[in-house]
Amino acid sequence: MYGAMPQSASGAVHVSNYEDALYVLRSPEFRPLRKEAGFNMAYQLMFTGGALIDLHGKEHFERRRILGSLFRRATLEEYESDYLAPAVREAIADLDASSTDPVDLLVFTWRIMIRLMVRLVGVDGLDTPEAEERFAEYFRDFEHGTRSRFSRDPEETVAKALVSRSILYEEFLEASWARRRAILADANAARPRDVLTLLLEHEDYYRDKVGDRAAEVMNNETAAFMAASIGSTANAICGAVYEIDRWLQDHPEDRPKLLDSEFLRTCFSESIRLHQTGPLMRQAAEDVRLPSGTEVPAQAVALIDRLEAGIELASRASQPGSGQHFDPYRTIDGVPQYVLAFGQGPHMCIGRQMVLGGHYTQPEIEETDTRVGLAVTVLSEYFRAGVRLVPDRAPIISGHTIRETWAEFPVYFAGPSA
Amino acid sequence: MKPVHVEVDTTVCALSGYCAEIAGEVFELRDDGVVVADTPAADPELLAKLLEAESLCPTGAIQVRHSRSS
Repeated sequence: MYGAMPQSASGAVHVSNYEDALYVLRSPEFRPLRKEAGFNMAYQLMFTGGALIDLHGKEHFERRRILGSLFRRATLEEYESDYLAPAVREAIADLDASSTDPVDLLVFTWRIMIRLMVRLVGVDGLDTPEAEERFAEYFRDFEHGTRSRFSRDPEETVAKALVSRSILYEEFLEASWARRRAILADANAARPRDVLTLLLEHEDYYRDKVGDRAAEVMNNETAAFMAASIGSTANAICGAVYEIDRWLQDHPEDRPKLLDSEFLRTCFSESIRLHQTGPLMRQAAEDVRLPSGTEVPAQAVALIDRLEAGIELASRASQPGSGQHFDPYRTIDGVPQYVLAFGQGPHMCIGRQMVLGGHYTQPEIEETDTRVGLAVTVLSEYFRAGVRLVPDRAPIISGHTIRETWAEFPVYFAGPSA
Repeated sequence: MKPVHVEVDTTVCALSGYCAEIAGEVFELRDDGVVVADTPAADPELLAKLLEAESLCPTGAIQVRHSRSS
């Protein structure tokens, strides 16, 4: 569940009805928040200003068209089969099998996600455990900056994030940009397929759109991809492990299904319905009446409580309130089980297929699509390795943000025979 | 030329609207939140647009089937 909203969120129009949420997220009458909207946006935009998530309308579509080329099916298939599963297996194999101490799954998953991000975004210099450790240390504070709209103490969050950003840029990103510039200048060199290369290929576009701010905006674009591919995903995977472990305690007969990708994908979808990355916010360009009759005045901010909307929608199909419980067998007519977890409308998560794999509800019409997605790949390897919660040491939720983020997630890896 | 077959799974469509931006002659955004496909002609220019619409769809709701020899 989300924590209490920070003071700056008071005054927003609270949207917790599913149909209203769909309307706000799909309608061109609502746009991402500007700096002047409050809600810590002046802080937030120091890290994401001018990036895809900040854009609206035609400009957003143009940018999405550029960045979407990284998420083509063939690219994702190659990424999943050649890189993802081996990287997860390698990380698990590196665990000390003789140790009986619990592993912090949040930290562990962060490390895996950093390795995956290296390939997706194109960050060099992370090829030793020490470098990985150093990157992770600074990235944690930096990531909080990219999410400062959710922070309870934005000034402190941003101050730390700016320091960390400088270090990360100096030690990792500057060299990564330079290497790709050199590759692009060499007509015979093979081009990496990553975010940095793609942005450099479109540098003229960025210059045309934002002039002297092109380098800043390209860095902000990169920051948004890094934040989404590391912190949010690690958090969501831990949430799924939490729910599946608890489900198996009451339904041990389902344990064999952990080898079934479709079951794991359903579990993950149901889990992220309940463990959302925080509310979404949009600003009304004009007076709007939502389907429920709620009025949103021009310039007002709609705060979309997608957790509540997902619970309410799931409860409609059965008992009131039942939607707040994890149930992998739940079906919601005409709506994917994750409900609003990936958003809706033009700003729907660009990595949705990377995380969840190929076609979702009608696999029979996609015979050749074998992608199961990042989430199922990681969960599958975790459960093969016997991951389970530590009795009497429940995972802890962080209190530093209104998002539900895990602060500590102790688990055992009991081995394949467990 | 062999025909192009386009399917849209309306249960996962998130109305991002990208398909209609790219190939408005085939995809239509309707008030009930559904993206529907009209029968497309099979010329190469349109096929390129359909394949981009398929790949840009965030939910994978669009399926374009075509013969490589078409």
